[in-house]
Amino acid sequence: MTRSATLRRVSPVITVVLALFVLVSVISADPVTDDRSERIGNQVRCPACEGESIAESPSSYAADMMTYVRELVKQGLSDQQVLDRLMASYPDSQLLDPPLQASTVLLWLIPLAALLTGAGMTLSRLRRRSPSSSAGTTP
Amino acid sequence: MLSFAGTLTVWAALFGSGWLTVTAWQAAKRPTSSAVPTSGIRKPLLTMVLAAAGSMLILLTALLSNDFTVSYIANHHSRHTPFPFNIATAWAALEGSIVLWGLVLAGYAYAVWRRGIARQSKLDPLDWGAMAVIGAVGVFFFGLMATVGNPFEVCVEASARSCAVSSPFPFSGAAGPSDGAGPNPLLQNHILMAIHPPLLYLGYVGMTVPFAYGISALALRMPGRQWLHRSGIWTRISWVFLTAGITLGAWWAYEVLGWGGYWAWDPVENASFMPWLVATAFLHSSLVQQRRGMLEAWNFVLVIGTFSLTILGTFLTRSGVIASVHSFTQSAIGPALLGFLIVVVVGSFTLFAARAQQISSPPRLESVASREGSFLVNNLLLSVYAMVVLTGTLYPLVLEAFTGSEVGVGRPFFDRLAVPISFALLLAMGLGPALPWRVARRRVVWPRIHLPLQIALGVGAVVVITTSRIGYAVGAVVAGCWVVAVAAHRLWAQAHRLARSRKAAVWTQLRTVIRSDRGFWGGQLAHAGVALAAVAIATTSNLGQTMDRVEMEPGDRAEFAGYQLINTGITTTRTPNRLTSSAQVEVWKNGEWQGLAKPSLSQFPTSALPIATPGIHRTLAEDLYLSVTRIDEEGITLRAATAPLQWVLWLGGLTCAFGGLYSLVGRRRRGSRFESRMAGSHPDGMTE
Repeated sequence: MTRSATLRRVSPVITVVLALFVLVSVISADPVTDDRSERIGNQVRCPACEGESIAESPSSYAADMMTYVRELVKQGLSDQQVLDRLMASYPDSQLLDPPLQASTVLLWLIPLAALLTGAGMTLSRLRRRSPSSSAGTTP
Repeated sequence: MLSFAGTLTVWAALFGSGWLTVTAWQAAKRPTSSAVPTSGIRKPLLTMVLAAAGSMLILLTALLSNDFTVSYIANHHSRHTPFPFNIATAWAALEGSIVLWGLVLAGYAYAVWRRGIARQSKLDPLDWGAMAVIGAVGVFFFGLMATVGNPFEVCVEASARSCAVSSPFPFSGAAGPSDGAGPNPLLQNHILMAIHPPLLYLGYVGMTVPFAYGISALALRMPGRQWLHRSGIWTRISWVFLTAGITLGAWWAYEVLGWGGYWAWDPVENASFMPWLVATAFLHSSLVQQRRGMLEAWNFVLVIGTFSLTILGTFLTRSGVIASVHSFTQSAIGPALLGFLIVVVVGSFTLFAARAQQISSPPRLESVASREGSFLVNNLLLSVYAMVVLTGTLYPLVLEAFTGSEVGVGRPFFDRLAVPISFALLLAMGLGPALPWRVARRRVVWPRIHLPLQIALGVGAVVVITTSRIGYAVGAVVAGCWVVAVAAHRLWAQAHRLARSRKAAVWTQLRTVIRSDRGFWGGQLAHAGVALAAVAIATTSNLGQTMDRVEMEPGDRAEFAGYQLINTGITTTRTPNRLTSSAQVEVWKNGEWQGLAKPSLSQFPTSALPIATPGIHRTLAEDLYLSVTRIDEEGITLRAATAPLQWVLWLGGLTCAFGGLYSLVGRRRRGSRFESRMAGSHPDGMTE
């Protein structure tokens, strides 16, 4: 009986310690790929294929572009400089990750608006109802 | 000859569906329509069903008899297309896929009718109204086949391996080529291509049925729970097919496309994923209405949304709008589908708005911390998820159509938003089933989730300690374990309680518990499938390694991710429809023989570019994925990647579908004895 009581008291502590340990290891995790060229290549759409990035695509066109990216990275250029140079050399390529600008504002706003509207609707329903119906049940 | 017979069946199906719509609608509007004998629509219904089946049979006959005077056959079939791809050609291209659509729709119409008879030997107005809506959808699709999407056009002028000019008049002088080009090479490369589209269509088209019941309920002023009870089984069936179809589609991409991935967020994939998200939200929110009478209006929105998204998906994948926003008007099918989509969306929501007064949602959400509260959170997350995918898919198209400027929206955008939403969903998926209805009290919930939480975190900690470079994937492992552990803990606790009251061993009661509430436990199984899939997605995308292209002469070795790869040469095989060169790559690990992988390139006579087929060496721990971009006498250019726990993804997707199926086969009848007995013996019952 006493043992189970001790266990019950220690148990939440174990949970918190485990949670902290996992949380810290996730936060301190290394980025997905340590290869900078691949990270840049993942952001560029392969012009010859549909929807794939130049890092993923097996096509030779994408391979050429990746070779170019590696070269530029080896020269010590920053990510943005590499992307700029790549866009200049391959004008028909596109970024898969659209930069925030006038024409893409809505792309980010629409999901945000959906989230806020939905959350607002849920909460308003709750708040309006709660005083009357759950006054006696909430501890 | 076949063109004539085919055209005849299409018109007969169009006539049948029109007749069905009119007859069923008249019956629905009649004040004593429950007195209308069910046999009243047997004739129009059977006309539609038999004619739709006939058109598919004739298309198959034309394929199997190499009748190249039918222009669809001339353009998409070849004498050398092997089984089963010659059959699959029937739905591999645009016009044929509409034939399949019509057949599946007719099949569902027939099944709904049979079920109505089996239930009460009579259809009531709600059923009649639903049959009328199904008939109306049929009118559109058979109308499409009869006009702009005619699969039975006659080829009147042949070119080398296709049909140059075709005519919709079946008696035009036929002049087909002696052989056709055959289907798209990508579509005749793997057996999954013959299975996955029909499954997807069974899911897609099936969503017409709940939509039809929803519209019927609105039009006939019969909101309430009845339409949900009627359509529930069809929503589940469609959802199971859709889940299986999406999983097999991803699997096919992995086995065939050769880039090592399975999901690229491309519009075709998104087109199948959006209805799945909204249908999943609908499955959950309809439960809330059935149990607690809430979300009545929201369920109409979701069912209309699901159906609209299936039409949108068909438009996106079948109109050519993705290749270029300006090309979709080349065929009249694109504008027709877009027009139908607008009619469906505007018409349905107008009807919904007109009936909004009569739809009441009792104001009874007492706490977010409750089962229905968790369903609400689930709906919010799934809807936002669908909105993200919809926005990302349509944004480039709409922007280009209106402003002419091009913008690419791809994986980085989707991943950034989809990953956090998916994590939130997983956390809710674990917590939700542990919460009782109405209000959750801490002393009820905490014992249900404490141990699972510790197990999930413990597994996470062990994984972090034992695995190097686990990175973010540990988050998915913890979340996945959490979902499974909560469900398993609930199962154990209930079996334990039952065992004590019956004085039996716990494990003997597991089966009884699972069988007592198949809806709930089927759902938990589906959750476990999603959890497995999430873990596999995290491991494959975070822990996989890739090796860039390496040139290998015969006899060369390469080291990659602990493997030794040896290029031992090339074999070439020639079949009538392709020339395949396979590299023979020996796979060794630490000096031990692992197997022979054969990545290959196939040259089809009709396609300029060779089609790459990967060679995959599978183990429990990971897949070694080899693909080649060049094969010739001097050697090969090899690309290699590892995909840890790749098989878990397929297992997860199919488990998810199976969970839906399980909830379906044993759907308990309302008010069954067993349910009430169980309700008394587990804590859910106390909160009722």
